[in-house]
Amino acid sequence: MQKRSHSTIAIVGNPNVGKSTLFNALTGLSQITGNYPGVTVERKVGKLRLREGAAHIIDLPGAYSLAARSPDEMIVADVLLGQQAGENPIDCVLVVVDATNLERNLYLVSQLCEFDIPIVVALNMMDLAERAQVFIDLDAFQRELGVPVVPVQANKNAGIARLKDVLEETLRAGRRSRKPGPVYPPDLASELDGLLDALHRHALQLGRRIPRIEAFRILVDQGGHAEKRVIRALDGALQSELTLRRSRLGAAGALSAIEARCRYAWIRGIIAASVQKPARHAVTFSDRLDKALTNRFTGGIIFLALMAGVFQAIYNGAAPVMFVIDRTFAAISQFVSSWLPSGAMNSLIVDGVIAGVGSVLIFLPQILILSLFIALLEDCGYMARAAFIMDRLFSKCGLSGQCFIPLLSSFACAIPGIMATRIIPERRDRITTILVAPLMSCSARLPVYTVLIAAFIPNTPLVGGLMGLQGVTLLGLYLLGIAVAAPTAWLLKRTLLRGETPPFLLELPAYKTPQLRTVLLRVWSQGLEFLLRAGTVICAISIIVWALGYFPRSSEVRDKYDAMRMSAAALPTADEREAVLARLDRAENSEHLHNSYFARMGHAIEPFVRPLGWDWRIGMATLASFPAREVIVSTLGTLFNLSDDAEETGFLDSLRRAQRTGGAPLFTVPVALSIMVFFALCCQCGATLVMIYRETKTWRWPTFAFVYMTALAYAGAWIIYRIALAAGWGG
Amino acid sequence: MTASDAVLELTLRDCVAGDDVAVVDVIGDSAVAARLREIGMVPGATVRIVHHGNPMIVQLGNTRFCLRGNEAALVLTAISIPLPGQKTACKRLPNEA
Repeated sequence: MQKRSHSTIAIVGNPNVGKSTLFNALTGLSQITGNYPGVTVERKVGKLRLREGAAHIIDLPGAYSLAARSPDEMIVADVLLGQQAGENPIDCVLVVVDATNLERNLYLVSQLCEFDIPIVVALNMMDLAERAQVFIDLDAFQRELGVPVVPVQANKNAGIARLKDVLEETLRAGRRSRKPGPVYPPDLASELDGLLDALHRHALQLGRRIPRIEAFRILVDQGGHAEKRVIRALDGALQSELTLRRSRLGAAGALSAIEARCRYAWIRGIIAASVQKPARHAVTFSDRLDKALTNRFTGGIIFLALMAGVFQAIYNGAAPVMFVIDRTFAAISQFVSSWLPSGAMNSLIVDGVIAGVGSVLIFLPQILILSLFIALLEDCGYMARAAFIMDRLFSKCGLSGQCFIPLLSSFACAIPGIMATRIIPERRDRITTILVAPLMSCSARLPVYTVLIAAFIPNTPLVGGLMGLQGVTLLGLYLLGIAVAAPTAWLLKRTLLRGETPPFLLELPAYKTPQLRTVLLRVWSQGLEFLLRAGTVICAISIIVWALGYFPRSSEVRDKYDAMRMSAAALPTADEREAVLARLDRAENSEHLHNSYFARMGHAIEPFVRPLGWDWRIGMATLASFPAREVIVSTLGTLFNLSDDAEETGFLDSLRRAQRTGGAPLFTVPVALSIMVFFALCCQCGATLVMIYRETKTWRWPTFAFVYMTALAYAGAWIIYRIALAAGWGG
Repeated sequence: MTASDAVLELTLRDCVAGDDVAVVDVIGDSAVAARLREIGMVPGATVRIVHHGNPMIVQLGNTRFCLRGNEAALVLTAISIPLPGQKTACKRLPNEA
């Protein structure tokens, strides 16, 4: 027996039973989120402090059954079978059961009882059960099941202490009580025995002895995950035997029907012996709320109003915080600049690092607000209704309403959005969703939008003061991504990823008050992830961009300006001297910039971006933001801090004052719009492309995503530029 | 169910909002059929139609699910109707769960 330092507990359960709430209650802030190797399914693990020592707890995705169909469910099955790379064998399974939905929840429990791992059942939502007049005789229930049952209320932290004790006891005892599980018809049992023997004969080739429950899944789930894995390992050896055994059973009915019938018979026996339920289910608050929210007319309106409200709140709510951050960083730059000796190091720190990182951090409030709204909507249960409303439109594009949730997450950041596609069973639908996810304007684009909108779009009030032109433009950019994504998905499902519209079966969880702890933890982890990216990737790129703009520093130019400074020292008044020196500094910086590597690259691509109304600086800043979108803001910040105006003016002012060679303003409304549209449609995020690779396991799809989106972005930017010019927007 | 009532087999898609119907079977062995069985669409279970449309909302036990017409058409249900000449109102099969 291997001696490991910590035991490992896995938490499983149906979706929406409060698994994550319980996980948070048991592990608190000790949880870390990572990834399983090779897939984008999250791995959430935390530490559980016991009386003696500690255990690792893994929060697994929700699953109705171990017949795995989506990547999510495959992880659950694989982890429990000890077949998941990067995961320890499981010492104990904690299954969370919703007391108001016992029958369906016990389906999974019936499967888990067939494992060799000890189980503990946490019976959650006891308060709701009581309210629904469901009375459970806990002793009888525990006796019938044959495993320890602990009533809890995860959201109120009730029963947690007792649960910890029971878990500790179970880990120590190390074995599970054996009560007979579901009874299967004799022919199924005998075919299973035969298959098991065949698999054991191939144990050497497989490298392990297949347990009975895995053989069961291989037999019953036709073309399923378990079957595929074994057949692949055996090079197709047992395929014909499998088909034969299935056809012999086929006369009795569909295999999954036999399994379901037997399991529910077992479940009903337990319920009959220990649970009292009312004859009819009462109409609940959720039912009444749903009447309005799922109604085609009112539901749609409420949905649109919610989305519009969220965007307006982001825009207005973050403004005061942004102002504070802007001024703070300006002050820091001032202070550091005066304190360090002038020269390359000074410029690097002030114009490279501080200006770069600062102009990204300023948009953290907006990212947090967006994440907050999405987390709130998910936790209160509304998200499923939104998926329901969206299904009609999605099915017209060849997808299903389930694809809505990952796409909505992509509005905060495409990376968790792509990870969320793990709930979509069919690979083609998953890839289609992944390919259009970056079109959902993520929070990294928000800095670009808000800066350009704040600087160049007037805030004229519309709709009698309810919304402003700035808010409408922002909304328009978001809608643009959606408007392009729909036909793209449709086209993909007709051509490259041709396939049937996927089935749509989604649970609508009961509405509940969002739990502050869950929501804040989610927002915290998203904010942290963004900050870490800002702190590292962008800092690195800011420095590189600064260097490209600072070097090469011609000594001739410096000597020329030094000579002019000498003559300025001869001026009569101190004021005059200061003014001339400041002007000379600016001019020198500008000339250095025009000789830099940056300028050379920018000039090289200028012919390509001129049709979009850009000049070499915008083109260069866009290129520099390809590793990480938000970098364009810090790049522009560096550019304009370095060039003509090196005083401590605010960022927006520097942009407004930027000029082309010749004096005309660089940023006009058409130019601002063309930049924003380009960013709305372009896939510039290196991290996203890497994530697409991880999920699709090939470089073809990320390359395709990059190419098609860049082409779309260029076309879109060109179109909007021409339209804006023709319409005379911005005068 | 009295002897004078006939049993009409419909699928879930044919039922209207407000109906309480009993599941007879799920057709086929597709992945979605298996999933429907797993969540509780087994012979004898009661389903209430909450919202008719496409997708529709049904209540199975204490949970609501939404599903499209294609999926609903896989679920065979039974309601009883009076034979002609009788004046009894439309009856449903008794709950079994």
